[in-house]
Amino acid sequence: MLTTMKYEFMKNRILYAISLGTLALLQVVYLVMLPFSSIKSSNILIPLFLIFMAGTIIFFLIIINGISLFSRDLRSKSGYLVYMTPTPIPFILSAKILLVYLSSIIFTLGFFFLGLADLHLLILAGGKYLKDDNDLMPRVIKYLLDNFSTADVALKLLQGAVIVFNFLSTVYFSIGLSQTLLRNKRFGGLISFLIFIAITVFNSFVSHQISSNVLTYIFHVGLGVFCFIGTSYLLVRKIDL
Amino acid sequence: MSVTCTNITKRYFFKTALNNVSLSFEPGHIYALLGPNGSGKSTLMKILSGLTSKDNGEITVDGHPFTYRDKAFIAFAPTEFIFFDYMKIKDVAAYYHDYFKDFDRACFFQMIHEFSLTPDMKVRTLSSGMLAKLKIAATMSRQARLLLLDEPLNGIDLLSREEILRTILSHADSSRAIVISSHMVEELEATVDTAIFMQEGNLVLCSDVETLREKEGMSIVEKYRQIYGTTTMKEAI
Repeated sequence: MLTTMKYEFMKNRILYAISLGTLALLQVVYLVMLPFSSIKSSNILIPLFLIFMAGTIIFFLIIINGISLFSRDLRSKSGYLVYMTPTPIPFILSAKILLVYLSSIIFTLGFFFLGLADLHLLILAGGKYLKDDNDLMPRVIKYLLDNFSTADVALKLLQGAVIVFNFLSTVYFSIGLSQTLLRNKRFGGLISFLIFIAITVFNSFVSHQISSNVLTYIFHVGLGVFCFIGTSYLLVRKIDL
Repeated sequence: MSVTCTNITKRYFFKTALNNVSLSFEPGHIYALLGPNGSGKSTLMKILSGLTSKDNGEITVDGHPFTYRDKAFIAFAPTEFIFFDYMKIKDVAAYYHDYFKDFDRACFFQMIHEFSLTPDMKVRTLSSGMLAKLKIAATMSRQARLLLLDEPLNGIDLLSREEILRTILSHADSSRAIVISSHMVEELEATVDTAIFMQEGNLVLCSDVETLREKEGMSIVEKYRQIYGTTTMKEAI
Protein backbone atom coordinates (compact mmCIF):
# COMPACT_ATOMS: atom_id res chain seq x y z
CA MET A 1 0.00 0.00 0.00
CA LEU A 2 2.88 2.34 0.79
CA THR A 3 4.34 1.66 -2.67
CA THR A 4 1.04 2.61 -4.28
CA MET A 5 0.93 5.78 -2.16
CA LYS A 6 4.47 6.57 -3.27
CA TYR A 7 3.51 6.38 -6.96
CA GLU A 8 0.27 8.28 -6.41
CA PHE A 9 2.42 10.95 -4.76
CA MET A 10 4.72 10.98 -7.80
CA LYS A 11 1.74 11.53 -10.09
CA ASN A 12 0.69 14.51 -7.95
CA ARG A 13 4.10 15.97 -7.46
CA ILE A 14 3.62 18.96 -9.76
CA LEU A 15 0.56 20.05 -7.81
CA TYR A 16 2.45 19.64 -4.55
CA ALA A 17 5.38 21.63 -5.92
CA ILE A 18 3.05 24.43 -7.03
CA SER A 19 1.41 24.43 -3.59
CA LEU A 20 4.74 24.65 -1.78
CA GLY A 21 5.97 27.31 -4.21
CA THR A 22 2.84 29.40 -3.61
CA LEU A 23 3.25 29.03 0.14
CA ALA A 24 6.92 30.04 0.00
CA LEU A 25 6.18 33.03 -2.23
CA LEU A 26 3.38 34.35 -0.02
CA GLN A 27 5.50 33.84 3.07
CA VAL A 28 8.40 35.75 1.56
CA VAL A 29 6.07 38.60 0.57
CA TYR A 30 4.65 38.66 4.09
CA LEU A 31 8.06 38.63 5.81
CA VAL A 32 9.36 41.36 3.52
CA MET A 33 6.32 43.53 4.18
CA LEU A 34 6.24 42.95 7.93
CA PRO A 35 9.13 45.25 9.06
CA PHE A 36 7.87 48.06 6.83
CA SER A 37 4.24 47.85 7.86
CA SER A 38 2.54 49.48 10.76
CA ILE A 39 0.40 47.20 12.89
CA LYS A 40 -2.42 49.64 12.19
CA SER A 41 -1.93 49.24 8.49
CA SER A 42 -4.29 46.90 6.71
CA ASN A 43 -1.74 46.32 3.88
CA ILE A 44 -0.10 43.55 5.85
CA LEU A 45 -3.46 41.81 5.90
CA ILE A 46 -3.29 41.14 2.17
CA PRO A 47 -0.51 38.47 2.13
CA LEU A 48 -1.90 37.05 5.36
CA PHE A 49 -5.35 36.78 3.83
CA LEU A 50 -3.82 35.23 0.69
CA ILE A 51 -2.05 32.57 2.76
CA PHE A 52 -5.37 31.46 4.29
CA MET A 53 -7.08 31.76 0.92
CA ALA A 54 -4.37 29.75 -0.88
CA GLY A 55 -4.70 27.02 1.77
CA THR A 56 -8.40 26.72 1.01
CA ILE A 57 -7.90 26.71 -2.77
CA ILE A 58 -5.13 24.12 -2.58
CA PHE A 59 -7.30 21.93 -0.38
CA PHE A 60 -9.96 21.83 -3.10
CA LEU A 61 -7.38 21.42 -5.88
CA ILE A 62 -5.87 18.34 -4.19
CA ILE A 63 -9.32 16.82 -3.69
CA ILE A 64 -10.37 17.49 -7.30
CA ASN A 65 -7.05 16.24 -8.66
CA GLY A 66 -7.27 13.04 -6.58
CA ILE A 67 -10.78 12.34 -7.82
CA SER A 68 -9.74 13.04 -11.39
CA LEU A 69 -6.74 10.66 -11.12
CA PHE A 70 -8.89 7.88 -9.70
CA SER A 71 -11.35 8.32 -12.53
CA ARG A 72 -8.60 8.53 -15.16
CA ASP A 73 -6.98 5.30 -13.94
CA LEU A 74 -10.28 3.51 -14.50
CA ARG A 75 -10.88 5.08 -17.91
CA SER A 76 -7.45 5.31 -19.51
CA LYS A 77 -4.72 2.77 -20.13
CA SER A 78 -2.41 4.16 -17.44
CA GLY A 79 -4.71 2.28 -15.06
CA TYR A 80 -3.20 -0.96 -16.43
CA LEU A 81 0.05 -0.14 -14.65
CA VAL A 82 -1.79 0.34 -11.37
CA TYR A 83 -4.19 -2.59 -11.48
CA MET A 84 -1.92 -5.26 -13.00
CA THR A 85 0.29 -5.24 -9.90
CA PRO A 86 -0.16 -8.01 -7.33
CA THR A 87 -1.71 -5.54 -4.88
CA PRO A 88 -5.19 -6.25 -3.50
CA ILE A 89 -7.64 -3.75 -4.98
CA PRO A 90 -8.88 -2.56 -1.55
CA PHE A 91 -5.24 -1.66 -0.78
CA ILE A 92 -4.94 0.32 -4.04
CA LEU A 93 -8.16 2.13 -3.23
CA SER A 94 -7.05 2.79 0.35
CA ALA A 95 -3.72 4.18 -0.89
CA LYS A 96 -5.45 6.51 -3.33
CA ILE A 97 -7.97 7.80 -0.79
CA LEU A 98 -5.40 8.04 2.00
CA LEU A 99 -2.98 10.07 -0.09
CA VAL A 100 -5.64 12.58 -1.18
CA TYR A 101 -6.96 12.67 2.37
CA LEU A 102 -3.60 13.16 4.06
CA SER A 103 -2.13 15.53 1.49
CA SER A 104 -5.21 17.78 1.43
CA ILE A 105 -5.27 17.95 5.22
CA ILE A 106 -1.50 18.36 5.63
CA PHE A 107 -1.24 21.12 3.01
CA THR A 108 -4.28 22.95 4.32
CA LEU A 109 -3.09 22.71 7.91
CA GLY A 110 0.36 23.79 6.78
CA PHE A 111 -1.05 26.96 5.26
CA PHE A 112 -3.39 27.48 8.19
CA PHE A 113 -0.72 27.12 10.88
CA LEU A 114 1.72 29.24 8.95
CA GLY A 115 -0.97 31.90 8.74
CA LEU A 116 -1.49 31.63 12.50
CA ALA A 117 2.26 31.83 13.11
CA ASP A 118 2.42 34.94 10.95
CA LEU A 119 -0.45 36.39 12.92
CA HIS A 120 1.40 35.61 16.13
CA LEU A 121 4.47 37.31 14.73
CA LEU A 122 2.38 40.38 14.06
CA ILE A 123 1.03 40.33 17.60
CA LEU A 124 4.56 40.07 18.99
CA ALA A 125 5.60 42.96 16.79
CA GLY A 126 2.84 45.26 18.01
CA GLY A 127 0.85 43.72 20.82
CA LYS A 128 0.05 47.06 22.41
CA TYR A 129 -2.16 47.99 19.51
CA LEU A 130 -4.47 45.10 20.25
CA LYS A 131 -6.26 47.28 22.76
CA ASP A 132 -7.19 49.76 20.10
CA ASP A 133 -10.63 48.69 18.90
CA ASN A 134 -10.82 51.21 16.09
CA ASP A 135 -8.37 49.48 13.75
CA LEU A 136 -9.22 46.56 11.50
CA MET A 137 -6.12 44.50 12.28
CA PRO A 138 -6.57 44.34 16.06
CA ARG A 139 -10.24 43.51 15.59
CA VAL A 140 -9.39 40.55 13.32
CA ILE A 141 -6.79 39.29 15.77
CA LYS A 142 -9.09 39.67 18.74
CA TYR A 143 -11.88 37.86 16.93
CA LEU A 144 -9.62 34.91 16.15
CA LEU A 145 -8.27 34.71 19.68
CA ASP A 146 -11.66 35.04 21.32
CA ASN A 147 -13.49 32.56 19.11
CA PHE A 148 -11.02 29.79 18.45
CA SER A 149 -9.62 27.97 21.46
CA THR A 150 -7.33 24.94 20.97
CA ALA A 151 -10.25 22.63 21.72
CA ASP A 152 -12.40 24.38 19.14
CA VAL A 153 -9.70 24.08 16.52
CA ALA A 154 -9.19 20.38 17.32
CA LEU A 155 -12.92 19.72 17.06
CA LYS A 156 -13.19 21.59 13.78
CA LEU A 157 -10.26 19.60 12.40
CA LEU A 158 -11.86 16.31 13.42
CA GLN A 159 -15.16 17.36 11.87
CA GLY A 160 -13.35 18.37 8.70
CA ALA A 161 -11.48 15.05 8.55
CA VAL A 162 -14.73 13.07 8.88
CA ILE A 163 -16.49 15.15 6.24
CA VAL A 164 -13.57 14.82 3.79
CA PHE A 165 -13.48 11.03 4.25
CA ASN A 166 -17.22 10.76 3.79
CA PHE A 167 -17.15 12.96 0.67
CA LEU A 168 -14.20 11.13 -0.94
CA SER A 169 -15.70 7.69 -0.31
CA THR A 170 -19.02 8.76 -1.80
CA VAL A 171 -17.41 10.28 -4.90
CA TYR A 172 -15.13 7.24 -5.42
CA PHE A 173 -18.12 4.95 -5.05
CA SER A 174 -20.07 6.74 -7.78
CA ILE A 175 -17.00 6.82 -10.07
CA GLY A 176 -16.43 3.11 -9.37
CA LEU A 177 -20.05 2.46 -10.26
CA SER A 178 -19.87 4.41 -13.52
CA GLN A 179 -16.66 2.60 -14.58
CA THR A 180 -17.82 -0.92 -13.71
CA LEU A 181 -21.51 -1.82 -13.56
CA LEU A 182 -22.64 1.21 -15.59
CA ARG A 183 -19.73 1.20 -18.05
CA ASN A 184 -20.83 1.11 -21.69
CA LYS A 185 -24.41 1.63 -20.51
CA ARG A 186 -26.47 4.43 -21.95
CA PHE A 187 -26.62 7.35 -19.47
CA GLY A 188 -24.23 5.42 -17.17
CA GLY A 189 -22.40 8.61 -16.19
CA LEU A 190 -25.64 10.44 -15.49
CA ILE A 191 -27.03 7.55 -13.43
CA SER A 192 -23.88 7.35 -11.30
CA PHE A 193 -24.01 11.13 -10.76
CA LEU A 194 -27.65 10.85 -9.68
CA ILE A 195 -26.67 8.06 -7.30
CA PHE A 196 -23.99 10.37 -5.87
CA ILE A 197 -26.59 13.12 -5.40
CA ALA A 198 -29.01 10.63 -3.80
CA ILE A 199 -26.34 9.45 -1.32
CA THR A 200 -25.44 13.06 -0.50
CA VAL A 201 -29.09 14.02 0.06
CA PHE A 202 -29.63 10.90 2.18
CA ASN A 203 -26.46 11.74 4.16
CA SER A 204 -27.66 15.29 4.75
CA PHE A 205 -31.21 14.23 5.63
CA VAL A 206 -30.13 11.61 8.19
CA SER A 207 -27.56 14.02 9.67
CA HIS A 208 -30.29 16.56 10.32
CA GLN A 209 -32.46 13.95 12.01
CA ILE A 210 -29.72 13.02 14.46
CA SER A 211 -29.56 15.45 17.36
CA SER A 212 -26.22 14.29 18.79
CA ASN A 213 -23.06 15.56 17.11
CA VAL A 214 -21.15 12.42 18.01
CA LEU A 215 -23.81 10.18 16.44
CA THR A 216 -23.80 12.36 13.32
CA TYR A 217 -20.08 11.85 12.88
CA ILE A 218 -20.37 8.12 13.55
CA PHE A 219 -23.02 8.04 10.82
CA HIS A 220 -20.72 9.97 8.42
CA VAL A 221 -17.86 7.56 9.07
CA GLY A 222 -20.18 4.55 8.73
CA LEU A 223 -21.52 5.75 5.38
CA GLY A 224 -17.95 6.47 4.22
CA VAL A 225 -16.86 2.94 5.17
CA PHE A 226 -19.91 1.48 3.43
CA CYS A 227 -19.06 3.39 0.22
CA PHE A 228 -15.42 2.30 0.47
CA ILE A 229 -16.41 -1.37 0.80
CA GLY A 230 -18.86 -0.95 -2.08
CA THR A 231 -16.18 0.56 -4.34
CA SER A 232 -13.71 -2.20 -3.45
CA TYR A 233 -16.33 -4.84 -4.21
CA LEU A 234 -17.16 -3.25 -7.58
CA LEU A 235 -13.51 -3.04 -8.58
CA VAL A 236 -12.68 -6.58 -7.46
CA ARG A 237 -15.72 -8.16 -9.11
CA LYS A 238 -16.42 -5.94 -12.07
CA ILE A 239 -13.20 -4.19 -13.04
CA ASP A 240 -13.10 -3.51 -16.77
CA LEU A 241 -10.06 -1.63 -18.02
CA MET B 1 2.81 -22.94 -13.85
CA SER B 2 -0.23 -24.04 -15.78
CA VAL B 3 -3.06 -21.60 -16.41
CA THR B 4 -6.40 -23.00 -17.46
CA CYS B 5 -9.45 -21.09 -18.67
CA THR B 6 -12.74 -22.92 -18.58
CA ASN B 7 -15.81 -21.59 -20.36
CA ILE B 8 -14.76 -17.95 -20.06
CA THR B 9 -17.48 -15.57 -21.19
CA LYS B 10 -17.39 -11.78 -21.37
CA ARG B 11 -20.19 -9.62 -22.65
CA TYR B 12 -20.29 -5.90 -23.39
CA PHE B 13 -23.79 -4.50 -23.60
CA PHE B 14 -25.05 -6.18 -26.80
CA LYS B 15 -21.70 -7.71 -27.85
CA THR B 16 -20.17 -10.98 -26.68
CA ALA B 17 -16.41 -10.47 -26.52
CA LEU B 18 -15.65 -14.01 -25.36
CA ASN B 19 -18.01 -16.91 -25.63
CA ASN B 20 -17.31 -20.03 -23.54
CA VAL B 21 -13.60 -20.04 -24.29
CA SER B 22 -11.66 -22.92 -22.79
CA LEU B 23 -7.88 -23.00 -23.13
CA SER B 24 -4.81 -24.12 -21.24
CA PHE B 25 -1.36 -22.49 -21.21
CA GLU B 26 1.47 -24.82 -20.27
CA PRO B 27 5.06 -23.87 -19.44
CA GLY B 28 7.65 -24.36 -22.15
CA HIS B 29 5.32 -23.32 -24.96
CA ILE B 30 5.02 -20.21 -27.11
CA TYR B 31 1.46 -19.57 -28.21
CA ALA B 32 0.26 -17.39 -31.05
CA LEU B 33 -3.14 -15.88 -30.32
CA LEU B 34 -4.56 -15.13 -33.73
CA GLY B 35 -7.67 -13.55 -35.15
CA PRO B 36 -8.97 -10.40 -36.78
CA ASN B 37 -9.86 -7.27 -34.81
CA GLY B 38 -12.70 -7.87 -32.38
CA SER B 39 -12.06 -11.58 -32.09
CA GLY B 40 -11.47 -11.36 -28.33
CA LYS B 41 -7.67 -11.70 -28.12
CA SER B 42 -7.05 -8.58 -26.04
CA THR B 43 -10.06 -9.25 -23.83
CA LEU B 44 -8.74 -12.74 -23.06
CA MET B 45 -5.32 -11.31 -22.18
CA LYS B 46 -6.82 -8.61 -19.96
CA ILE B 47 -8.91 -11.21 -18.13
CA LEU B 48 -5.82 -13.40 -17.64
CA SER B 49 -3.89 -10.46 -16.21
CA GLY B 50 -6.71 -9.41 -13.89
CA LEU B 51 -7.49 -6.12 -15.63
CA THR B 52 -10.95 -7.14 -16.73
CA SER B 53 -13.43 -9.32 -14.91
CA LYS B 54 -15.12 -12.23 -16.63
CA ASP B 55 -18.88 -12.70 -16.58
CA ASN B 56 -18.77 -16.48 -16.45
CA GLY B 57 -16.28 -19.32 -16.34
CA GLU B 58 -13.24 -20.07 -14.29
CA ILE B 59 -9.52 -19.42 -14.44
CA THR B 60 -7.27 -21.71 -12.47
CA VAL B 61 -3.55 -21.39 -11.84
CA ASP B 62 -1.94 -24.72 -11.04
CA GLY B 63 -5.38 -25.98 -10.10
CA HIS B 64 -6.42 -23.17 -7.74
CA PRO B 65 -8.77 -20.29 -8.66
CA PHE B 66 -7.02 -17.15 -9.96
CA THR B 67 -6.49 -14.47 -7.28
CA TYR B 68 -4.65 -11.13 -7.14
CA ARG B 69 -1.58 -13.03 -5.84
CA ASP B 70 -1.25 -14.77 -9.22
CA LYS B 71 -0.57 -11.40 -10.85
CA ALA B 72 2.90 -11.74 -9.32
CA PHE B 73 3.55 -14.57 -11.80
CA ILE B 74 1.79 -13.17 -14.85
CA ALA B 75 3.38 -10.42 -16.95
CA PHE B 76 1.28 -8.48 -19.42
CA ALA B 77 2.46 -6.10 -22.14
CA PRO B 78 -0.62 -4.34 -23.55
CA THR B 79 -0.57 -2.81 -26.97
CA GLU B 80 -1.44 0.68 -25.64
CA PHE B 81 0.69 3.37 -23.96
CA ILE B 82 0.43 2.49 -20.28
CA PHE B 83 3.17 4.43 -18.54
CA PHE B 84 2.67 7.52 -16.41
CA ASP B 85 3.41 10.81 -18.12
CA TYR B 86 6.21 11.82 -15.77
CA MET B 87 8.18 8.60 -16.24
CA LYS B 88 11.62 8.17 -17.69
CA ILE B 89 12.85 4.72 -18.68
CA LYS B 90 14.68 4.38 -15.35
CA ASP B 91 11.40 5.20 -13.55
CA VAL B 92 9.76 2.30 -15.37
CA ALA B 93 12.52 0.02 -14.03
CA ALA B 94 12.00 1.39 -10.52
CA TYR B 95 8.25 0.87 -10.80
CA TYR B 96 8.56 -2.76 -11.93
CA HIS B 97 11.24 -3.39 -9.32
CA ASP B 98 9.00 -2.01 -6.56
CA TYR B 99 6.00 -4.08 -7.54
CA PHE B 100 7.33 -7.32 -8.99
CA LYS B 101 9.74 -9.45 -7.01
CA ASP B 102 10.67 -11.35 -10.18
CA PHE B 103 11.86 -8.22 -11.99
CA ASP B 104 15.52 -8.36 -12.99
CA ARG B 105 16.91 -4.80 -13.23
CA ALA B 106 20.21 -5.87 -14.75
CA CYS B 107 18.41 -7.81 -17.46
CA PHE B 108 16.14 -4.80 -18.11
CA PHE B 109 18.98 -2.32 -18.53
CA GLN B 110 20.88 -4.82 -20.67
CA MET B 111 17.88 -5.09 -22.99
CA ILE B 112 17.41 -1.31 -22.97
CA HIS B 113 21.02 -0.96 -24.05
CA GLU B 114 20.60 -3.57 -26.80
CA PHE B 115 17.52 -1.72 -28.04
CA SER B 116 19.58 1.51 -28.23
CA LEU B 117 17.51 3.22 -25.56
CA THR B 118 18.89 5.14 -22.59
CA PRO B 119 17.59 5.23 -18.98
CA ASP B 120 17.07 9.00 -19.02
CA MET B 121 14.77 9.04 -22.01
CA LYS B 122 11.30 10.38 -21.24
CA VAL B 123 8.73 7.71 -21.99
CA ARG B 124 6.25 10.27 -23.40
CA THR B 125 8.68 11.25 -26.13
CA LEU B 126 9.47 7.73 -27.39
CA SER B 127 8.44 6.67 -30.87
CA SER B 128 6.03 3.74 -31.22
CA GLY B 129 8.92 1.41 -32.06
CA MET B 130 10.92 2.52 -29.02
CA LEU B 131 7.84 2.19 -26.85
CA ALA B 132 7.22 -1.34 -28.10
CA LYS B 133 10.81 -2.22 -27.21
CA LEU B 134 10.46 -0.66 -23.77
CA LYS B 135 7.32 -2.67 -23.06
CA ILE B 136 9.03 -5.85 -24.21
CA ALA B 137 12.08 -5.09 -22.05
CA ALA B 138 9.96 -4.39 -18.96
CA THR B 139 7.82 -7.48 -19.46
CA MET B 140 10.55 -9.91 -20.48
CA SER B 141 12.76 -8.78 -17.58
CA ARG B 142 10.28 -10.36 -15.24
CA GLN B 143 10.83 -14.03 -14.53
CA ALA B 144 7.06 -14.47 -14.86
CA ARG B 145 5.56 -17.90 -15.47
CA LEU B 146 3.04 -16.61 -17.99
CA LEU B 147 3.95 -13.79 -20.38
CA LEU B 148 1.16 -12.13 -22.31
CA LEU B 149 2.26 -9.93 -25.20
CA ASP B 150 -0.58 -8.12 -26.91
CA GLU B 151 0.34 -7.06 -30.44
CA PRO B 152 4.03 -6.52 -29.64
CA LEU B 153 4.86 -6.08 -33.34
CA ASN B 154 2.22 -3.47 -34.13
CA GLY B 155 3.26 -0.30 -35.91
CA ILE B 156 6.99 -0.94 -35.96
CA ASP B 157 9.50 -1.48 -38.72
CA LEU B 158 10.75 -4.85 -39.95
CA LEU B 159 14.15 -4.68 -38.24
CA SER B 160 12.61 -3.78 -34.88
CA ARG B 161 10.09 -6.57 -35.27
CA GLU B 162 12.90 -9.05 -35.86
CA GLU B 163 14.78 -7.66 -32.87
CA ILE B 164 11.72 -8.07 -30.65
CA LEU B 165 11.05 -11.60 -31.84
CA ARG B 166 14.70 -12.52 -31.21
CA THR B 167 14.43 -11.14 -27.68
CA ILE B 168 11.22 -13.06 -27.02
CA LEU B 169 12.81 -16.29 -28.29
CA SER B 170 15.95 -15.77 -26.22
CA HIS B 171 13.84 -15.48 -23.07
CA ALA B 172 11.69 -18.52 -23.74
CA ASP B 173 12.43 -21.50 -21.54
CA SER B 174 10.76 -24.57 -20.12
CA SER B 175 9.53 -22.79 -17.00
CA ARG B 176 7.33 -20.20 -18.68
CA ALA B 177 4.53 -19.96 -21.20
CA ILE B 178 4.53 -17.07 -23.66
CA VAL B 179 1.38 -15.92 -25.44
CA ILE B 180 1.76 -13.52 -28.37
CA SER B 181 -1.21 -11.96 -30.08
CA SER B 182 -0.47 -10.49 -33.48
CA HIS B 183 -1.65 -9.73 -36.96
CA MET B 184 1.84 -10.46 -38.27
CA VAL B 185 1.06 -14.14 -38.80
CA GLU B 186 3.95 -14.83 -41.15
CA GLU B 187 6.51 -13.46 -38.73
CA LEU B 188 5.21 -15.59 -35.89
CA GLU B 189 5.41 -18.78 -37.93
CA ALA B 190 9.00 -19.53 -36.95
CA THR B 191 8.60 -18.38 -33.34
CA VAL B 192 5.55 -20.14 -31.92
CA ASP B 193 4.80 -23.81 -31.34
CA THR B 194 1.05 -23.55 -30.74
CA ALA B 195 -1.51 -21.52 -32.66
CA ILE B 196 -4.83 -20.40 -31.21
CA PHE B 197 -7.38 -19.10 -33.71
CA MET B 198 -10.24 -16.95 -32.44
CA GLN B 199 -13.19 -15.41 -34.20
CA GLU B 200 -15.92 -13.16 -32.80
CA GLY B 201 -15.21 -14.27 -29.27
CA ASN B 202 -15.17 -17.96 -30.04
CA LEU B 203 -12.24 -20.33 -29.96
CA VAL B 204 -12.02 -21.76 -33.46
CA LEU B 205 -8.95 -23.92 -33.13
CA CYS B 206 -6.02 -24.52 -30.80
CA SER B 207 -3.40 -26.62 -32.50
CA ASP B 208 0.23 -27.57 -32.27
CA VAL B 209 2.00 -25.98 -35.23
CA GLU B 210 3.87 -29.20 -36.05
CA THR B 211 0.65 -31.18 -36.00
CA LEU B 212 -0.89 -28.62 -38.32
CA ARG B 213 1.99 -29.05 -40.72
CA GLU B 214 2.14 -32.85 -40.55
CA LYS B 215 -1.54 -33.75 -40.49
CA GLU B 216 -3.05 -30.98 -42.56
CA GLY B 217 0.04 -29.95 -44.51
CA MET B 218 -0.63 -26.32 -43.65
CA SER B 219 1.41 -23.47 -42.26
CA ILE B 220 -0.17 -21.05 -39.77
CA VAL B 221 -0.63 -18.53 -42.57
CA GLU B 222 -2.46 -21.06 -44.72
CA LYS B 223 -4.64 -22.12 -41.82
CA TYR B 224 -5.33 -18.46 -41.05
CA ARG B 225 -6.36 -17.94 -44.67
CA GLN B 226 -8.59 -20.98 -44.53
CA ILE B 227 -10.32 -19.88 -41.32
CA TYR B 228 -10.74 -16.17 -41.91
CA GLY B 229 -10.87 -16.02 -45.68
CA THR B 230 -9.22 -13.64 -48.07
CA THR B 231 -10.83 -10.46 -46.70
CA THR B 232 -9.19 -10.63 -43.32
CA MET B 233 -6.01 -12.03 -44.85
CA LYS B 234 -5.16 -8.59 -46.22
CA GLU B 235 -5.34 -7.26 -42.69
CA ALA B 236 -3.30 -10.12 -41.34
CA ILE B 237 -0.23 -9.89 -43.53
